[in-house]
Amino acid sequence: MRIQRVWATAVLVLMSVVILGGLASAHHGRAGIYDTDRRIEMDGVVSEWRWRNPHTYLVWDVTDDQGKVVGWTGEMSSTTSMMSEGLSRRTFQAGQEGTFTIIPATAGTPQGELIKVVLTDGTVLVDREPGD
Amino acid sequence: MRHCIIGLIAVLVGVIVLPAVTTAQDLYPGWLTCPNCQTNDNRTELRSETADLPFNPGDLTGIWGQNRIQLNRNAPPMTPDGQARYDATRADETAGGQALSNSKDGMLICDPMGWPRMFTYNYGFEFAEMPDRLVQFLEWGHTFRTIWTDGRELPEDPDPRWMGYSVGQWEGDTFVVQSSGFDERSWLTENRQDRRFGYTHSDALRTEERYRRVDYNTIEVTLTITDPKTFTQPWVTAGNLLRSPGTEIGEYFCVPSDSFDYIEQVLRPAIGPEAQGIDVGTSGN
Repeated sequence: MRIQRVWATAVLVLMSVVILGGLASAHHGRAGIYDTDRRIEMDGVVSEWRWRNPHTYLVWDVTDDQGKVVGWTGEMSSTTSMMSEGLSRRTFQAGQEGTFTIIPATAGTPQGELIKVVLTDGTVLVDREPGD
Repeated sequence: MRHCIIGLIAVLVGVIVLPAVTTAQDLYPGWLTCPNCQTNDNRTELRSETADLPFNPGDLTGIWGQNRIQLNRNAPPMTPDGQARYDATRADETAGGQALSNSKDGMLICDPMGWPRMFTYNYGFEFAEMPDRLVQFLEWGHTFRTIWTDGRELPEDPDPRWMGYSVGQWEGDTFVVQSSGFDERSWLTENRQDRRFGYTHSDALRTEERYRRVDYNTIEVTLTITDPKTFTQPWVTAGNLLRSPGTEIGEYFCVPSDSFDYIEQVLRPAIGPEAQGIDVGTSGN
């Protein structure tokens, strides 16, 4: 049973690499830190919105099948850059539920560059190209 | 009788004071958004609406450059000394060989970027004219630069400054600025190819900018960097500074405590366990 699970995981990772690899960003400002060839999408609940320079970042909680909660962090660009994209310090509030898409950290930590946020009611709060 | 006098005073107050308040409101429409707080669509629309307005080529006042001009990426060949300084800026790496982007860049701990780095790494600026100087207020870093127009010459042996010393004069319809006396600790720019290196300069650095306003919303500008101790040729960058109509300069301080928070909460964990105890800097704007 355990081996089957490992194989299933390996296949899923391989599929992610193959399918999402074509979405690689042309930006390399964070090359090496984030794996620009990959995307990860997950459901979660906003816990903190850090509207600060040099880069804004959002923290949200993700609960896995075993009920374990992991806090994920997604960074974007500076406050003024994000204003140009229509965001503000009021864009997020703790408790908002939605789907979060990131370019994940190469190190495998629960982090990434945040590129898309869609609330459960369908409202799109973030939909952006990776910054530099 | 007493009521009549009070009534008359009330009417006079209404006639004299209220129009003045109205006029003041017309003159001072309230707080404007900063150029970078406009959305990209807002800016495009405002520039389109004002594109055909008349303009004075001798008037550079206004908010410009939010569009940001990047330094020409084709840096000139370096002297041996310049190359050695450039090589010394190489970013630290993790034990696994991963470059920690920009790790030796003083800007990342909020050291002043200085001039001419602020020419390219800025979030827009305002030219404000005074009788004997043109002042350049820069949004990024919330700082300013003074360009003297009173006929003085650049100092012979100045104490080095992050923004140097600047004098300007009109040559026809082109405003020409000469600067020198720069602090050697600043970089000209980070290498934007991969951010592993920074371009340094020596005490011999001089810069020249040539500004020519060609329409209501555009200034053509050329920056020439000359530093014979670092480069074998001048480093020339040309571009257009676009005006941001209907705005005022915002406040973008580089705040060390915020940068530290970002490093500890975002950058260092993203790099992974190898980043523990390493000076990682931040990844830029």
